[in-house]
Amino acid sequence: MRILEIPVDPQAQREWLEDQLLEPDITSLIVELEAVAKTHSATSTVPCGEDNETRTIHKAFAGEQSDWIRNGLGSMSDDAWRKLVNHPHLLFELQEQIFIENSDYWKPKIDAVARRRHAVLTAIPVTDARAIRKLRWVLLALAASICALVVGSQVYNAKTGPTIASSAWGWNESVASRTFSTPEEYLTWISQGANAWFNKDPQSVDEFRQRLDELRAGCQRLIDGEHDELPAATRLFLVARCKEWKAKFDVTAKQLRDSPDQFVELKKRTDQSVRNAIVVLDQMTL
Amino acid sequence: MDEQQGTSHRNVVDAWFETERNRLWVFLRSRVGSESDADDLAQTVYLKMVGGTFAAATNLDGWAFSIANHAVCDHFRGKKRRPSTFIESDTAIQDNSATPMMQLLATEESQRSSEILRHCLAGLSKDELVVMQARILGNDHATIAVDQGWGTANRSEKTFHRAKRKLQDCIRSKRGDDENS
Repeated sequence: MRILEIPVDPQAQREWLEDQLLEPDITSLIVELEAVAKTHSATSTVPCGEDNETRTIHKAFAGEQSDWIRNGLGSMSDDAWRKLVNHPHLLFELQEQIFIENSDYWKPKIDAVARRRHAVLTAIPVTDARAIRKLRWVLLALAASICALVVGSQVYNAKTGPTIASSAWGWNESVASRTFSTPEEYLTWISQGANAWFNKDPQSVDEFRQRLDELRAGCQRLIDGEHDELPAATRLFLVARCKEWKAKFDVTAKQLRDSPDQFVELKKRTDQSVRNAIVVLDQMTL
Repeated sequence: MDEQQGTSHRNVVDAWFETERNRLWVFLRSRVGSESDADDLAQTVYLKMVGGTFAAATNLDGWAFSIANHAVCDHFRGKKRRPSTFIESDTAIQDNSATPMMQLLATEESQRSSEILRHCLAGLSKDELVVMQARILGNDHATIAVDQGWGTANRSEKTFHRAKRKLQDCIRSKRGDDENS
């Protein structure tokens, strides 16, 4: 229960509340405070119910909140604290105003929360990269064998008809031989690349792991790509989205390593993430 | 919206999203509690912004966060954590008197949490409840002791810790019952 952690010192209380406004799940804190406030109103003569005066933060605090939104909660009076705790739904509006205003006081705090998350996400590819560097020589040695296998498989395919699945699907396909006359055409190609994820339905952990690794590799290709076909703003936007998708897929890959038994759930989640990516890409072409 | 206006609108939205998506993400995570859901919702907000229209005089930040608020509510409805008070009628969900934010407090999950907490608070003794409420209202133990005529802050402190332990045990037990049923 978060309300049991409220510090005793008034200054520390305000700082604690500032943190809560940026941390996950403000709703559960508000639910807790509401429950206490309702119990309080049933046992005391102080009216705690919803009334016109506490419907909005402007009505409840008569302008005092402007200073909190600009300069933090340090100046919050004890009366205001009590009113906020007794009418915690006001925290929703206060929080929204803080995010909209994005003042010089709050902006570094919001950025710091976002940076912490970025640090967690970027730590995963770094670990992968280190592992890959260690394996570089092994991979080089394997490369020759793979080349031989690819040539062999092509000869085999030419003779037998069915194709053996190649990792060059979707975003891993080479763009070099293609020409795009418009940015929309290029984005459509990328969207179709995402759609290729659904061409196969991995049935085992190993199959899913391989497919996911290929998806991540394709994602990295998009991040590293020049995308000359796109206007600068769209290019930036696309790469930023790709980084987000890659970060999610990296997290999924890590979770799969840690808990392979969760693979069905992780596959479902990846399917949904790819679907979301396709919606974004399709929207970008409009 | 003609093609030129559409492109200009897209550029404005893209530029905003590029610089402000972290702020939007922190806000969304705070509302939904999960990083993964915040990622998906940020994309939803972007799409709604691209697909929507706003007047030149509109505050872009305000518009974006208003879309974000509605997206959070849709998200909870999609997870079948829809407001229990609105279960009987879909039209009631569009009732303007219930803001998207207030609807969050009416989700089944929120209502269940509130129910459990109120049940557990009701199990505290009168002294324990008084101390608990006074602490949350910001009073220190010395002030509470004076208000209650207890002589020393020690009694208030001990009462608070006992109440805290009782609440934690009660909530754990009720949550366990929920999971078992």
